[in-house]
Amino acid sequence: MLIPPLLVVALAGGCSGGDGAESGSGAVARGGSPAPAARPYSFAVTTAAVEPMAPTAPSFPPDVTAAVQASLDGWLGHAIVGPLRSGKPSSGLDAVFTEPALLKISAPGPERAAVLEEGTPLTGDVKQEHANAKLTLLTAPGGEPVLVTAQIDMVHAVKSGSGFVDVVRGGEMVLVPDRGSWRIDSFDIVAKHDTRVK
Amino acid sequence: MTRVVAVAVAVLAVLSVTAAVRGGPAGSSQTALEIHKVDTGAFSPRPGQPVFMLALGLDGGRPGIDGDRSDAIHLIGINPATGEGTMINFPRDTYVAIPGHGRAKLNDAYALGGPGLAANTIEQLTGIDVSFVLATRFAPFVDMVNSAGGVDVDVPIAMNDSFSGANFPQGRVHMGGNEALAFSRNRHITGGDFTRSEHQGLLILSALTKLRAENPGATGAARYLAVLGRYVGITGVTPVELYRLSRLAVTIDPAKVRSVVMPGGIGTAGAQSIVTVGGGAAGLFADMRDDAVLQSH
Repeated sequence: MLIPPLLVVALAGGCSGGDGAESGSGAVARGGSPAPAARPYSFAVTTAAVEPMAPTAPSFPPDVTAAVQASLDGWLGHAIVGPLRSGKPSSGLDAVFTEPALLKISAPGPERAAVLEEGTPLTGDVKQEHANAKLTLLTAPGGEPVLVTAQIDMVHAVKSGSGFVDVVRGGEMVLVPDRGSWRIDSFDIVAKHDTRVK
Repeated sequence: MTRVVAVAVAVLAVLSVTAAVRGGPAGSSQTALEIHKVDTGAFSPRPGQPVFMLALGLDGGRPGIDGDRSDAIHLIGINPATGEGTMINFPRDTYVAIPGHGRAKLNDAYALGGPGLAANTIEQLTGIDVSFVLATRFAPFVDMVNSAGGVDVDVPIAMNDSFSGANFPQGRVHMGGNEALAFSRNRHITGGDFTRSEHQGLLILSALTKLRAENPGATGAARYLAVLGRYVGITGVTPVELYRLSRLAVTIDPAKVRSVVMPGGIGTAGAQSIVTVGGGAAGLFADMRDDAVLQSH
């Protein structure tokens, strides 16, 4: 089995929309409660379990955790926070999604809407209420990391008129080694906008 | 194994349930389920690219005499874009050309050359490229279906067959492993081998319905794949491909899968009773080939 080298991708902080998202692994925690996000737009990542295709389970490699966090933070910046501010289509998605996933979201539709926040220009600051990702790793019979699932739970609040809009996303993402990094290969995400009066 | 794992194993096993047991149960040392990748290139479901797999039920062979024959043979096509699919059920006695071995019954292909030759034989017959071969044997099948909590099957006609042990009223029946095996083995019914093949297809769709109802999500799928990896023989399939395959199966609505039996007739070849490929078969294969969906059948 060919496992691409696991390289941590240093995704550029912020996207073209100037969202200010940053990459990094500063919010990684092991088990228990998620650590608070170190930066305004970053996931608090916990490593929940390793599921081995062999009798014994290896530990969750820190470089895999960091690479997965980099991709998730890149998604958050490029696909959610940036477009929330600009209303414009996201850029830089090829650094975050695998080719099959990019194909899936290339045309407008429910799948694209689930993972891309676009066409809804909202002014004002984007406040991250919380963004949690709980990771489970699948390892091959030889112990190589082959697949990570991320259980996503996040809310971002944006000021809109006299109130706020809570941009809520929850569900699961699957990341796989791809082109020297870990990228989002599939997802089952539900997105909604909840309006609340100030 | 957890229940969801058992369901996953069972659905894959039911995808290739053994219909007739010629040599008695397989030895307990045999792998419960084998998953073989028989084409090249990485597998990734793409919207415009149908996926085809061959599901086989092996009879365990006659120890010391010959190898496994595939007595349940199903070609399954899935269209990832539409969530539709087609399953062509082949009577085991279908008389075909087996590459490198002349003409013989379709169920001999696996015994003569394993999953690769079984896939090549189907590809030559249908013109459809097979990516995966799933194969299971009789012995572990009963236990696996039981571990999964059984399966609900809408029995199309009442059965009372002492040979297979199939005794069912018409209508929905909750079947354990023994009942599911008996249902799939019974050919003492109108239509004989053709109807039996159709019933095997029905059992596969019933298992798919169960898997869909117990959709474990991405994290649950990773968990059961880890267990599958410890219990299932996997050849040429990466864990990621296996994951994609399992998730693809969950996206398919069984109501959108057409199950059809290959058109054919009854004949003889020497002293053998055989099934001949019918005149409508070529059109059926061509219809399935482009997008795994039947438009004209």
